Amino acid sequence: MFTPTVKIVLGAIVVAIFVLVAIFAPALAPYDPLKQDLFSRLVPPVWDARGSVSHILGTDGYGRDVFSRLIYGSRVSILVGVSSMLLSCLIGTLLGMMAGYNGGRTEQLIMRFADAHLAFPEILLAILVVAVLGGSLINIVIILGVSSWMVYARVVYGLTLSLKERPFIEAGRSHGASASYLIRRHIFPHLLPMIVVVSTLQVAQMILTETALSFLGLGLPPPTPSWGNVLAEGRDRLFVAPWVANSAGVAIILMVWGVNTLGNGLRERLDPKAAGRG
Amino acid sequence: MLNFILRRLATIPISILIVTAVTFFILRLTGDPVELYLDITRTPEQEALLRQELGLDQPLIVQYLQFLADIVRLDFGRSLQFQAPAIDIVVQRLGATFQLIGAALVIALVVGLVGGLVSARYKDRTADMVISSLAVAGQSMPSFWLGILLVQLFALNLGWLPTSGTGGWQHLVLPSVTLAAFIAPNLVLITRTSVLEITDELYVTTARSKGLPRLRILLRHILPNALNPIISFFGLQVGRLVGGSVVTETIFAWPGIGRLMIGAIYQRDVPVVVASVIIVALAIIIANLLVDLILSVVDPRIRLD
Repeated sequence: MFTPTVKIVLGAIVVAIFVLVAIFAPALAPYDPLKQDLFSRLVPPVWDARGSVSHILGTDGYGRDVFSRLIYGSRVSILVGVSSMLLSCLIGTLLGMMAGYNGGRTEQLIMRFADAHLAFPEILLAILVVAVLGGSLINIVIILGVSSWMVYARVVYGLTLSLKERPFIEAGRSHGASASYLIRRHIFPHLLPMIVVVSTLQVAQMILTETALSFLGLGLPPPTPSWGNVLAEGRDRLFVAPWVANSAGVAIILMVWGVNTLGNGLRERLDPKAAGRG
Repeated sequence: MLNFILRRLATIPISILIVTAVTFFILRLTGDPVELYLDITRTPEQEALLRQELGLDQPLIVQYLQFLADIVRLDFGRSLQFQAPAIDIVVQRLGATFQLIGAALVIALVVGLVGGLVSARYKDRTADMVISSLAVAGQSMPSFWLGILLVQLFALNLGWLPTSGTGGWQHLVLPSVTLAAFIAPNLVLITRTSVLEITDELYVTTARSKGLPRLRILLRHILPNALNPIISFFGLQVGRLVGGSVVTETIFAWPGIGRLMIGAIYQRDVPVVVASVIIVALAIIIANLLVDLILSVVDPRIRLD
């Protein structure tokens, strides 16, 4: 019986709220996130003396409603975070299981490749791809996805290595089960809890990286309402309108904290040995 | 030891091959690299010359070997925006980035080691709770927003430090603190964990039973043995530091290689982009090698393996 801990519940609630906001963005957002209104530029947020209730978080330099842009921005963050996580999870898990199960030359090749890949962090890949092909949703997902498969490969490789020696695998093999059957039916289910934990924590990482790339102008091209874009636009007017950058920052930190808390909670629950480890 | 170094050196060509192959592959994705290497004022003669230089009429593998040969000669073509060899521009900017990363490393090391040690020493007490929670919150913090908050507080509101640019040491404070924030939270948690793991070892109990002072046990018996995961961590974080310095340089207009790369993208200056990407990847490979060598000096078990 799976009993959730405080961390899991807390993290799941925060994540669920963001997911609901992303799904129902058109119903929740008071304004069109792209609509410019030059008569209400740089309106301060509601808690400022000069602010008004019509723009809760104020407006940016083009008169766009910051609150609406952040609501739509959650769609970008969740979409990019989850799809790039799935891509890297797929690549990493497959390669990790192959390396762990086959050993020998396959293992050497895959694990050396993983080491070598460390010399090519996602930022360099992003810079190259955007310089040559330009920024787009698909490009960002591919860049983030292929840049972090090593995390899964290492974890899955280590676990597969030890699972392979367990009696039930040996029993299956002695009954003539094929390698792909054993991997699918007996190894993969044992890896699943750890994969779920790593994936959750990776989503947080992906969201942070996406906002950083958008902030640098390497992500989704403006005026797409992504949190990184809002932060980048806010930075240019920090002195007159600090609320633009800061509300995007708060949105990012809340979301990432929620996902991280959920991931850490799951890890402590599913892998008690790792609990308390950094 | 020599054996270990040789074995480690043997992996470097693989890394370099992968980095250059990926770069080459992406450059050829658009079909015609002429558009990437020359600007719109190009003449048909220049195009023909470039096609010949790049060997575009040759099979791909020959083109790749040509690409590798150019890299070995450090010939990345001419920068479109600066009208000078791309490699010269990149080398000029390396110093500023090294300065920034160096300062950030010192800050992260001090904060990470002290934070982790204090946290481990007072495990489950108030100090540990505060430090650990801060570290976990720090992991969720987008460091570029931290940089922006620091600018608002110390530059715009208090006026103590400059918002951006270079000059005296004051210009280095906010950028290096921002960059340090990229790795310091993880470092705190890793130091805490590895110190706690060592504290349970028998030789620590022995040292304690001999009546040695606590601080001496911590610094002489626990810390040296806890160093392995901490140093390995740096090897894995070099890429993060590089990414962080690109972001930090952009926030603070720091004239390093990160800002050069971002500027080159906006100017569609592909030679500079390729030159900086390759040089930075080489720097990461060398940094990882250094980390492994330091690790083998600190922890002899590794080279005997």
